[in-house]
Amino acid sequence: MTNPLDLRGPEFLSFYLLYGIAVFLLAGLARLIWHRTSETAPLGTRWSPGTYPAEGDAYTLAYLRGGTREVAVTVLGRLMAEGFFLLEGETLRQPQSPSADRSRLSAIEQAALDSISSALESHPLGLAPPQALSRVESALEPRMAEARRDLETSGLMPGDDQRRGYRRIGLGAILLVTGLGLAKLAVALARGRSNVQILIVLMIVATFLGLKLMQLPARTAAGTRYLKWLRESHQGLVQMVSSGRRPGYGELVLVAAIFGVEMLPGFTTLRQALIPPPPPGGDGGSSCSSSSCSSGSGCGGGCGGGGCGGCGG
Amino acid sequence: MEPQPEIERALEALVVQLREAGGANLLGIALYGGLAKGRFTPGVSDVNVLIVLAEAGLERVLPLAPALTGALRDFRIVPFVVTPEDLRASARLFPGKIFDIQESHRVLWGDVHLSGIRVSAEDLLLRARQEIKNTELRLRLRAVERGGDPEALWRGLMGSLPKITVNLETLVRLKGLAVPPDRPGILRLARRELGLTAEQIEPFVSLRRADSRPEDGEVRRLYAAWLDLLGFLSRRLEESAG
Repeated sequence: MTNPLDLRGPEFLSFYLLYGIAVFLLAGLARLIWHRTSETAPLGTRWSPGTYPAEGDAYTLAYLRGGTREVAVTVLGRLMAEGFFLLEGETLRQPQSPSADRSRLSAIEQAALDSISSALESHPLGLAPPQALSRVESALEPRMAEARRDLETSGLMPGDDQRRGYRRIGLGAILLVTGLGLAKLAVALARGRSNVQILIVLMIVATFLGLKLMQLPARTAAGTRYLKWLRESHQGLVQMVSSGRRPGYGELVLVAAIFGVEMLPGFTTLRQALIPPPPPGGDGGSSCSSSSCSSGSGCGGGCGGGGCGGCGG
Repeated sequence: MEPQPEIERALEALVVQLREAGGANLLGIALYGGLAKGRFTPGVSDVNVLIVLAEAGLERVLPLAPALTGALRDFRIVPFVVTPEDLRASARLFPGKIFDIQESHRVLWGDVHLSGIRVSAEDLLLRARQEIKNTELRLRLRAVERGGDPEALWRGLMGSLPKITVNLETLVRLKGLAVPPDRPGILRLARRELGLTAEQIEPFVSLRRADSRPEDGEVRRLYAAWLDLLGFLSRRLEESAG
């Protein structure tokens, strides 16, 4: 059998290309198998299909769905729902008389509120929504470590072992492809050849692909399954919340965490304001979606009794 | 009304879970509200379930929480958890609701202890008067507090329509009449029995909560007509009550 390093330039490049494709296909397959089989989710945890999450778990679920950014979007939606901020045109600002009652806010919500309030002191006319989002993200990032640990322990996000696996697969592919390229480069240079530009480009591409293979997925297969179950098993709640029939903040945040803030009544456009879609001609991947609209709760002042625990009819 | 096999299966599963979790403390379970009456819109209507317990202290109801939370989040099954004593007290405090449940419910399991409970006609009439007047006041307030926002007006109108229909149903039942299962039928019967004109009631007969909102001008026109109708009904009921 011919030693590939002895192949002439064009023949080697054809071989190298096929070899590289084969290695990366195998590495991709290995990554897929690793993704599906390396689950370490302990059975019966509170984060498993069939166990309905508590309202207090909402921000952890938002983290599972989209990392700190999704938590920040959810927190902003919750704060706006209670009147701490309002979105007016292209500006996020405090209303004339903002809600002063912080007693219902969690530590995460208070941290987000503080980060925006302090920024608004120096920008009394208001903040651009993406700027506000970025501030909240920065304020919340350190607070999400516990949520991340929780999700890793439950097998919903890749933990240390899985992380090592993804890195080994990517590194292996880089070593196999770029290593052969380096060997050929050395042979070529030793033989006085200088037309090695295409080989160098292929090696750079291989390194880039290998690094992509080392990247961690946002969730494990168990995490994706759990999110799918959450979406399927909260269809009733999302209908009730988005139509304004369940105005409680706890359920509101839970729905925003599982389905996205655009499902909350009156917040259909909030995501576009916070994360503007790329300009026309970009790659198009907008973020917003469906759902209903309007302004909120249900009850007014009025008199008389409200009934006994949510009436029928 | 179309059969709702998915919800029926969810109710069956809920009964099994509640019997398991509630044990001997669980006395009975019944379906009431729109689905029991034959007027139910998937994705819009709640599913109302009456759960009767011998004792309803926190330690007795918490075991039921996982099943009920799941049923609510998944299928909009909204529980009404009571003891027989609660039902007797509710017959005086919330007569409209208890009367409504008594008139249209389907027992899913056990004994829901509704048979011995009497709701007085006077209590029902007073409650219906309160509800109709209260709705009128709340809707008026909604209009001024929300800057006349058509979206808020539409939600207010559509949210109050089923409640007012239930009260009209009660008033018609008090006259000893059989009530049709559908909302248009009830509204038209109420029109005849309560001396309303077709012009007053017809705009609301075909409205459904699943409908999309009409244009702003039409919303304001309907809202104004609805407030007028509630005011008229309220005056009529006060006159007849003396």
